[in-house]
Amino acid sequence: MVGTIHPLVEGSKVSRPLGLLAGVGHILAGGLGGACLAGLCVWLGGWLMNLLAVEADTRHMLAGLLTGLYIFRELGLVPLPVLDLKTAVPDSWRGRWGFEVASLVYGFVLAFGFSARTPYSSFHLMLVWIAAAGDLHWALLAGVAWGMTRGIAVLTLAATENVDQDYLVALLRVRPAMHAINAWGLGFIGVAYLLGFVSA
Amino acid sequence: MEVQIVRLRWPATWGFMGVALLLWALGLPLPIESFSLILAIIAGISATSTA
Repeated sequence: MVGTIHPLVEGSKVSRPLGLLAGVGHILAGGLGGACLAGLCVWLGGWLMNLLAVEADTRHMLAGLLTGLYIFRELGLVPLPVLDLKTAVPDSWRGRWGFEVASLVYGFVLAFGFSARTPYSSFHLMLVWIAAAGDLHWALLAGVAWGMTRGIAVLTLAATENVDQDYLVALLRVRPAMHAINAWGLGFIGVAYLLGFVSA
Repeated sequence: MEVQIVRLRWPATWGFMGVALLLWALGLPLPIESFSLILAIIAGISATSTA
């Protein structure tokens, strides 16, 4: 969580323009990190699918089934696992690079994903769908959206909550609602896929 | 947290039904690649409580 709240905690100690600039930098770096993750995912997914000779329809079907299955996890009905490396970005980066650069680095690395704890299915299923679709343009769009939305959501929530700098508590408070949002999103995709409201 | 999730099950069920009705009413085909974008935005919002 240190990287997530870094621009907020440290940003409150500097001038407002500098704090705002670091926040925007954090968001933009997140977009770049997400794009890199998505590009890597398309490349790895394409390589793997070619190796296994999996047709597009089969890829979509598997991704659709996984999405439908993970609704039950997000509703708390079935404890399905998600890939969680249980790591966190190092606290020491704050001291090494200083506030501004550390905001950028944390933004990039957190959006790149593999060093962050992600207890929601949507992140992993996003990677599955990026690999299943195999379309670089959509993948980059999704990657940038993931990275930037991540930063915008965190900064917006923290800015609108009257928490007196106890950001950690404020951000953790929304977890049940986030699981519900995940379930609704997965449900949207599940319904759209199962009812055939898609064009491959 | 689990208790709150239990409370959200019925609203979620109604949400799914609403989504199904909306899609049926619209009858719009979604590009299958757009699913990754929908999930990306949800994952980004969810990141408010990740590390």
